[in-house]
Amino acid sequence: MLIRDLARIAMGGLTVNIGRSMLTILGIVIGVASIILIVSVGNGAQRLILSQFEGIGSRVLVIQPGRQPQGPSDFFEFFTDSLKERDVKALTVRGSVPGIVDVAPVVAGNFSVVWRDESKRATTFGATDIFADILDVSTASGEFFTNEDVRQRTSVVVLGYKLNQDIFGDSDAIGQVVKIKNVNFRVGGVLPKKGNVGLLNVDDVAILPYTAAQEYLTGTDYFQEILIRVENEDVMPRVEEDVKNLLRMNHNITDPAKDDFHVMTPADVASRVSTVTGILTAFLTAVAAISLIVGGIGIMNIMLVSVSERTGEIGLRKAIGATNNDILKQFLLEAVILTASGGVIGMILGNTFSYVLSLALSYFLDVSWKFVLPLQAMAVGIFVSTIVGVVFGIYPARRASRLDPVEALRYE
Amino acid sequence: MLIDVRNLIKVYGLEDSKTHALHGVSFTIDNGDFVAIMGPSGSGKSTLLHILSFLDRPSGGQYFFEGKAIEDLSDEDLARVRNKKMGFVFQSFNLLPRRSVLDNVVLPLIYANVGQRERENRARSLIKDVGLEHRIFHLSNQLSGGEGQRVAIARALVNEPTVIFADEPTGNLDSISGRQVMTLLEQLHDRGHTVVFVTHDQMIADHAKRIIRLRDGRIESDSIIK
Repeated sequence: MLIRDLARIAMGGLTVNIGRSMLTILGIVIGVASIILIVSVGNGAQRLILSQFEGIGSRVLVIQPGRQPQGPSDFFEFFTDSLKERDVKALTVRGSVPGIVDVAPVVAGNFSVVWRDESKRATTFGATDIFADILDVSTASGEFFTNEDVRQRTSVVVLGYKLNQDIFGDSDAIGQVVKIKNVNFRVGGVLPKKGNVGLLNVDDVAILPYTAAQEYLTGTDYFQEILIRVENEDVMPRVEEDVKNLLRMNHNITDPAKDDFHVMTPADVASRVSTVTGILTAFLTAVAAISLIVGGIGIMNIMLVSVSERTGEIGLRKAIGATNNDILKQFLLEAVILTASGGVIGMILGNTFSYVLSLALSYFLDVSWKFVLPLQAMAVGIFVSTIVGVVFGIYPARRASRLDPVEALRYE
Repeated sequence: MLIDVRNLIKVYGLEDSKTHALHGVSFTIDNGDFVAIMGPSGSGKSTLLHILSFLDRPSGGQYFFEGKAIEDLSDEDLARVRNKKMGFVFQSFNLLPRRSVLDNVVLPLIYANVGQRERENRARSLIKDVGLEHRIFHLSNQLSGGEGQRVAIARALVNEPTVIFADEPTGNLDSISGRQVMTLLEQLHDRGHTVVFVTHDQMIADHAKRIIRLRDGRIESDSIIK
């Protein structure tokens, strides 16, 4: 039998009962649509995160307390108090590590910023004057605090865009005095709208000299992070090694396995985040794939019903010369056309949802979420739905092909 | 000689519940014969027709079609012979539902790998021959019984078969339509086709040139009608 005729016969079998055919493929449509949606949104999220890390710049090293985290159990390593003033001093000494441009210790905390009746919880960063450069922001109004402020422990604070909006609304915040942990801080500057840099939403933060943060807020003498800016990307690996050696010397560590700190680049963080979103995407895709199997079982059921309904037709076709193979191919092709068209429809729906979602996220969450056309997932979706048709179509098709023509003709 | 059956036996069922549908039937049919197979229900006439038309295989005995033994042919071969050499007319027409008259008539040619243009040409001329050219694009379920059976006859002829098998071709028709169908079969015979049909109705059987009567799976009589 000619392929074209076979296709026409199979299509004919499906279009005679178009309503049922559409309902039959619903499972496949939903399965493929969810896979496309998940992969597309996953890719979008990954791309967003990576783009935010690009904002930090590729010339920054991050030193964090505790050994290199190997898994969730190392979470508490972050609370180690191993990074102290002397480390900053050692790194700052000119020539101690060639290639270092700036050293910026960070004291992180979470406190309420209070002005009159307004109170707003904020991530507070005790930092130095170069913190603004590393975040790549300059104040929208007022001024960032200076190195002198850091040395003097001046109680001055710079507010993120949204934090300022929440507390002061439209009134001018510069020069106003806010209370943080009952200590008065003068608002020295307000940052422009910036959004995320890395995983940090700059619009929500309050930044103050780290010396003041240690003295008035945390009461600690260690840092959650030390940021290091280097001359250029080429020296990064060497600087990283030198910094490690210097800190080991400072901490009297001889065995690198016993490090009480670790050094990361933004690329490391980004790749770690990518890994997590990748695993999540894969897991969700696997869950969605189960619905494809369920959809396939649905197709098999309907095909079995169809075979028994069309027993008379099968008998006739055999009587006038269709071989068992012709019948097998006809019903198998019907199943494959069903699942493959389900795959195509699911693909269109999934991409449409994903596109609408990307618009909605960009609009409501105010992030530059880009719609990603998941070409690989689309290819896999079409391939898998076709395979589902073959796998779940073969049993009904074999049954049809093996019908006894005499029995089949007698069927009414 | 077209058909040569020798001591044909057909047994249904398994060991303990065996039913003999045919108990050793022998006869021959020549090219151009017009044969009615008659008998009461249960006489084995349908079983015989199924075997003659390759829809079923005998349990014993021999069947030569155009000199070839059926036992030497595979199921695929049987399908091919059914397609190329045999035409079928059934009691309940067996048209594909919700398809046009044309679609139904071209069906055997699809399995014979005939190209689309030639398929349609052949089908159209046969639809014209059976007087249904005005119905060519009507759906099969919009036809009357007589029209349906005429479509089935056109379908049976479309691949220019050597022999046409009909199983109670008038069984579901009123007497006028029945007569029209028998007239068509007579015309086919006049044009040199071999026609073999099964009926339990003497009036219908009288259209044939030869009547084989069966009873309890055996030939009761085999007579030429002048």
